Amino acid sequence: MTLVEDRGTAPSPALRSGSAAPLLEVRNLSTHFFTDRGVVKAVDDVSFSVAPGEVVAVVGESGSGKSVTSMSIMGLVPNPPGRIVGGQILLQGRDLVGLPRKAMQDIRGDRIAMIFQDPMTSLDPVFTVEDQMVETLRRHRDLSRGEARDIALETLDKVHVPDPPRRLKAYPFELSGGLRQRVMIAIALSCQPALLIADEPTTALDVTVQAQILQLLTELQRDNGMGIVLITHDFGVVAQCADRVVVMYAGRVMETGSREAVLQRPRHPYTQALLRSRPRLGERGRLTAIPGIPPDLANPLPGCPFANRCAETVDACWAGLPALQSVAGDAEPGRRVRCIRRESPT
Amino acid sequence: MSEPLLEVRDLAKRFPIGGGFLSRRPAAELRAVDGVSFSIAEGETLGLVGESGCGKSTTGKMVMRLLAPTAGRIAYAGEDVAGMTDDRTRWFRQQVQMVFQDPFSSLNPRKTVAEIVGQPIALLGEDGGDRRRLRERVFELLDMVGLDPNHANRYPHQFSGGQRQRIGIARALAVRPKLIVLDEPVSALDLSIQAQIINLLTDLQREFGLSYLFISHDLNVVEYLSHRVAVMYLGKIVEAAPAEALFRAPKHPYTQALLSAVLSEDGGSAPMVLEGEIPSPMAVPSGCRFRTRCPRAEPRCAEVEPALEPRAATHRAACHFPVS
Repeated sequence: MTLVEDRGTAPSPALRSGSAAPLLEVRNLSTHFFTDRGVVKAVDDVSFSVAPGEVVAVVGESGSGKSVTSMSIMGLVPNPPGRIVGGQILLQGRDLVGLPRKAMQDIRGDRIAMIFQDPMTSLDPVFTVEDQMVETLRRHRDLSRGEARDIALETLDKVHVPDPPRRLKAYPFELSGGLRQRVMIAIALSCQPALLIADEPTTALDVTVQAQILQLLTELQRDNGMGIVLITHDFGVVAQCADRVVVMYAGRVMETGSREAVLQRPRHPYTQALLRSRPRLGERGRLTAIPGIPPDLANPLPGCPFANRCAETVDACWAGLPALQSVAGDAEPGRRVRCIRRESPT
Repeated sequence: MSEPLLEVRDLAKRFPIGGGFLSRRPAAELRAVDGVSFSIAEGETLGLVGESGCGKSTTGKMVMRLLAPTAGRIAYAGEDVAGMTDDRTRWFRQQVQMVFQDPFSSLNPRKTVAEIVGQPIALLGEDGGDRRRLRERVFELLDMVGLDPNHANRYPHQFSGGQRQRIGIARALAVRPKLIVLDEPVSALDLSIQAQIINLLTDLQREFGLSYLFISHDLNVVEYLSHRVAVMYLGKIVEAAPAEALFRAPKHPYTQALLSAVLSEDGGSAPMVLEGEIPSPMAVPSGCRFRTRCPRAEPRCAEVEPALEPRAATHRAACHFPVS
């Protein structure tokens, strides 16, 4: 199947009105790593969807599986030791799991683009910005060097890089951290992808530059109607730009819902504890820390993965994995919590 | 008021850049720290805040005597550290310790926890050469930072990031210092672990009357831990005040922008987004160094460099047109 055919059959987001068909639908995704220490279930039965023009934040700490989820969508899970062992990743209705490498290469950079945390290591240090932008464009579009260069200039301007002709000639080391991240975003956007995966896009940046980049992402998403999967550990970033939130812990989805629901009415003890443990401006005194450390994914215990750190456990928490279920009294579609005590007041 | 434990006056560090080894003069000069003064009292935490490249870590390294200042003076308990004899330097090394940002690269992977924590004690001869006493002290330290003494013979890789940071803190505490330089001690840690370490640092300070020089880019964390805060920009302190006053009513437009860029969970108001980025420390702007990004800048800001002047009893800011 060629990409051109696929574009023909894929439903155009613009033609759908009301609640749009999902741009991306991750269904029961499981990505495991087969190591000497055993099977590490880095991502275990994860489902979520992204509508066109929507920003979905996947939040979690290190080891929660959020980055492996994004690598799975991009088809970049290192194999061996990693492998997608189950589930589907539907991009505009087409399953990306098991696609031949060539077909995935055509999609990557074109329909789905990704920006990474560290713009220094994800740009090639020995090529100029022009080389890297033109290469991406000509890989996916039938363009002359000159035409590709024009689009590159235009895209740099769109991401507010000052003096684009000069930056085009620059090598990555000649750019500041903020400019490098803008160049990365420009490369990612150059083919006008339907879906952008942003993995901790502002974590390596200073706060004043972080504010600039988040403003830019929000602006681009509004103008282009692109869907964004935002991988982050920072609830401040979530509050700033997410529409919906997926909270992950130990490879599993623990809670999903709108930004308002998850931040203001968190139902999972893990989400609640995480929000409480964050130092906030204007507050002093003792922080409420979460005791203990996340579980070893190679030797999972039966029951809820958060049980050994949870302050509200009952015996049943250790008996089996709670299902991801809706909450009585919360009519919001897509609101799900993986906790047997989700309806008990806390 | 009693004499400060640490006093830093007009401290500067300039690095010559390029020029090659045959040329007489360096091609350029990088002004990493450009005249910084502050003091820390016993039992006090001074937060040193700023973005990357502002000179906060270079300042910390000079206080630790890991870098020699180009100019200025550092006095510890009234004694100029530059003039210290070898004997006094040993004493200084016992008095002042450091905790690093990265709990992975700052611990020797080939030594056990007992060796890592015990080494400073043995080096400074605090154990009197008694191995059993050393071991007891190591156990006591591990217990103090919330680690299981039974794990003393494990290697760093067998611990998580938060536990490793506890090992680093135990190592710093081993020789009973009075001042600890904390360089981004929780930045590499997960949110759920950060709070544990912040609480531990607070407890230890209360228990032992420790002073902290707390270097960080994270304003939320700085506010939690610091009694006083100094904000650095491009090698200089632009504002210094008690934490509460600085966070409630910043006087310098840069501090104001920094605070507004901190994202709150409830969304809040749109951040005040600064134009551009920090200029290169090799080409510091004339006059006020923040003027190239400042929304309040006037012609005068390019001509006269504002001094760090009192705006209230204990609140100083270097700005011609401070926020009122």
